[in-house]
Amino acid sequence: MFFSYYISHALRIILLFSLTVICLNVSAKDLSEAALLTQIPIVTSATLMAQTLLETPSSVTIIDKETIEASGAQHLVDILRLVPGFQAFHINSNVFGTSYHSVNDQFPNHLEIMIDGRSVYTPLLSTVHWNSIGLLPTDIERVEVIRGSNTATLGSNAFLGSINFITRHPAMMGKAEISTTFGSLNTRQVHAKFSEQNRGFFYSLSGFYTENTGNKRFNDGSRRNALNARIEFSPNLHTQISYRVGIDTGFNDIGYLYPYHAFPENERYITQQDYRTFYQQLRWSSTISPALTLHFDHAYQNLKLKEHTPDPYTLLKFSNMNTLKDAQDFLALNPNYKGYREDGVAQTLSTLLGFEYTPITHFRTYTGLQHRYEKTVSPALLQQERIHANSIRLFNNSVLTLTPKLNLNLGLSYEQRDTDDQAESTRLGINYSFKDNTLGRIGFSRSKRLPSILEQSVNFGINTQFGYIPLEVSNTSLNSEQINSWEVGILHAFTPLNAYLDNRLFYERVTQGIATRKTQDDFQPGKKENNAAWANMGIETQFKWEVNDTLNLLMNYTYIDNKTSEWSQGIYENFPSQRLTPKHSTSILIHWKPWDNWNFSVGHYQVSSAKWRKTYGTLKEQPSYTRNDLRLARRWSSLKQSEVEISLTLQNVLGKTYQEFYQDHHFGRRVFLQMKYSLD
Amino acid sequence: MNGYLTLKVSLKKLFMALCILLVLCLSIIKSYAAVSVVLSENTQTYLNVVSAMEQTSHHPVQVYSLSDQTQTLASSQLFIAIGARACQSVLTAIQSHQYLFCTFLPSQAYELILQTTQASLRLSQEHLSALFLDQPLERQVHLARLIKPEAQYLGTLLGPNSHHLTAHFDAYSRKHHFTPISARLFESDNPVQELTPIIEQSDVFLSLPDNALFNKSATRWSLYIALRNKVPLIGFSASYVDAGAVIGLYSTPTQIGRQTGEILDFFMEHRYLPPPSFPNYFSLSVNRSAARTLQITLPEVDEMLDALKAGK
Repeated sequence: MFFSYYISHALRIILLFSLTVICLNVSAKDLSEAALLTQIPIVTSATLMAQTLLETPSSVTIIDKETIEASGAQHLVDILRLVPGFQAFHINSNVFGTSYHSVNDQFPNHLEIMIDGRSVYTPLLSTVHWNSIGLLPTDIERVEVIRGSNTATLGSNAFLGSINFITRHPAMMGKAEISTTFGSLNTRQVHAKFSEQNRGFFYSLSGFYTENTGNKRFNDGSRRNALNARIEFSPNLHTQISYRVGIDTGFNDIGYLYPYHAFPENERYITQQDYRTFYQQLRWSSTISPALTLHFDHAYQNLKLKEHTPDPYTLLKFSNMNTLKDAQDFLALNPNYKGYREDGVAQTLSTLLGFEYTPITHFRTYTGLQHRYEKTVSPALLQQERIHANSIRLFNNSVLTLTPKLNLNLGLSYEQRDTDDQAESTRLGINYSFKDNTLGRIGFSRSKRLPSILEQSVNFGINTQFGYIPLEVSNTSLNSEQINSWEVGILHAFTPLNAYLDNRLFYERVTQGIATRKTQDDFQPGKKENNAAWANMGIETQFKWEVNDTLNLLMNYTYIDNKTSEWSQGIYENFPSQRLTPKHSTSILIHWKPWDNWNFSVGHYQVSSAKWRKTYGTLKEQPSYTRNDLRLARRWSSLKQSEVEISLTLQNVLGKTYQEFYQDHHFGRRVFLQMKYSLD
Repeated sequence: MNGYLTLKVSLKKLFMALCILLVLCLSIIKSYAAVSVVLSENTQTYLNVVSAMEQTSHHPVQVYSLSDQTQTLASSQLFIAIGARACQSVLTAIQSHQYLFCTFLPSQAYELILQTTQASLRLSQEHLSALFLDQPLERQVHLARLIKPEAQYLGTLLGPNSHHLTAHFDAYSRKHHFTPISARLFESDNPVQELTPIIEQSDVFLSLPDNALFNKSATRWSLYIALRNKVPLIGFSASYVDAGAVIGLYSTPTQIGRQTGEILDFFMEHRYLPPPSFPNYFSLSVNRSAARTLQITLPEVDEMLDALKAGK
């Protein structure tokens, strides 16, 4: 009796499990509580899959619109002062840079910078030309920053990290907005946005005009005009189509603000660089089945930089030439001579096909195939040659939930350029939830970065009456840079306090770094070689606390023990066993809304001394600095569906001028007054 | 002497046999635990339901996962299925003398399971019941009234799994002095075209859960369009509130687990299951930033919770 009963139940149980398998295929999408537990995407830049901060394989910082506004940032890079480990710098009044754990010069080259997933890294300069990307901080909805190598997802450019600036969706904008800003450096700026909905799609137009005269000593000004358009369309619930197009044109004055032997005492060579950027991007994603989503992303960017050729008088003043005739003769022999050689055209065309697949609940994967075409024409940097490169990248990111508390992220990428260069990258992240509000993460990545077109093909010199003298020649056997990085992350949410703490301990070792080397004597041309290496060890901490509805606090602290282990530039300064990046950096932002319609924020930034590189050797040390910013804003929204806001931003309010990047670039107190009218 | 030794050895063997028998009996008793809990997935969310249930009720349960095929389910008197897949699987295999309580699943999923699973006919009403994850429609309409007392129009969009609620939505809206506005959205529809006229006319928009595709696509557009038209949107999850809904009404896994534990105690005492119900325990999340953007002043969360509880 007992056994027959037992057997009958065992059979029933077997039947139950058989039916379970069948049930998996029957209307699974309709019968699940997952419908109510659906997570709204939080971050996508780490693996291209929507993940919460607790699931990502790397440390991620998100800066939202409210924080951007409260910071009073006037330029996109200023936002990054609020990200642990990041250094944001104004190289001069209108040239900017940002770096993360890098030993960089004025052209930081180890970060992938994206606008809505579109890379704005330019192969012509191996960096991002910030003042030509057609956006101001007011256009940004939020910023996703991946702290740590992200080549497994985004390829070579994301060698040390990546930043994705996500612009405001047309549906999230008011119907119209116009703002004007006046302030220091004779800044005059008008920005306008307009968005509308028509026949089931949203579109927006935004544009700005901005100009400033730079600082009083160098008059390194800028004038820019930009126009952006965007269309968002969902023909049905399965499909999402997005198209963006834009142009940014104008000029920026460029120049190295440090003493150079050929320059007169206290004078620096500043020259105008005209530019024009045109871009377009098409994104399409389609849900093929509940388990499979297809993504297609096509982006095109054309950046034209035209640095002005110096006239003979200017050339005479800022060179070793003795007479005006020498200068005239030199220009006759070098009619396209550019003082800084930041001149040329760069085109990039990128096509990505991605498959996001979730075969079972515990496993998600994104496989992508990307083709990238880069073309550069730059007589100043690459001689008359037109250089182009095709590269193909195949990558996969997979997330496996091993147990309810244990997540495994694996990323693999293989990149092949038609010049036979290859780069493979891997990343492994193990996330373990100790409690509902505490997570530990161990991460390892081993990544390679292919040399950029500029690094591989740089080739310039001057024509003299004695013939052509090369100043730098290409190195076709340049290898990829490599990084091995380890990280331990602890995230803890203080649930009752509405606070969040993110700690990251890291160790990174970069080898085969690319640096320019001159052998034998000064008259020999320089050549890029894999002759640099450095290591970073340290900790980054971010603390966010929403104290109550009216008070928010954001605090970041970074400690980096940076040391070069190899840095050989031939006859120039070599600096093994040196620290270049700032050892300590702190940023604090307090945002307080004391009354309805009033906003008050205080920013505090502290950076210890740094040594930035130049092409050969290093610049004079940038001393440590402290900067305090204030912003006060008042809103009036008494009129129906319209709002007026006046804000006053004071940067470096205590007024102690500090050096930023170049030794002659001094950042004093700056004041900006903004008036904004918006119509909903 | 030999006899003594033989007796000693025999007693030893008997003692060993008794011990083995005792262990076997204990394991059989364990396998015959009165209550088996079956999880749709062995993930933290489902384990949180179990944990809260075990904290509330002191009756021992055996926990199984559908994905864990090496386990064998006990012959239990009561099965507690956590999640829709577990509910459907257990219902298919259960016998008429056994009881099944499905919890942590949407009410629409439960209705669909009953309609599509012939096995449900074998069970009497007292043998089959459920605790839903979603909130009763009236509670949601009541919340709409609380956040905007002067509102006239209440809008919603209904998907393939929720369109049958149209009549209820209209009735509850009128009961709370709203003029209802609703439309049905098909998978082939352009969500912007369908949503815009409804949200533009609404003073408050109620987002109702549906299937995953509907929730992923339509709810994102609902958020955008509601924010653009400065219409407060009521969401159905905490993450929805994080994404921009002014307020969210939902039950957490812990709250569902707690009520499931209470129902387990009730069953152990009375030996029958109460009728299917919506959760008694629920939470409200407020997005203050969205409220400021929409320039609406919300009552205190505790006040709203009390009012909703009083309204049941």
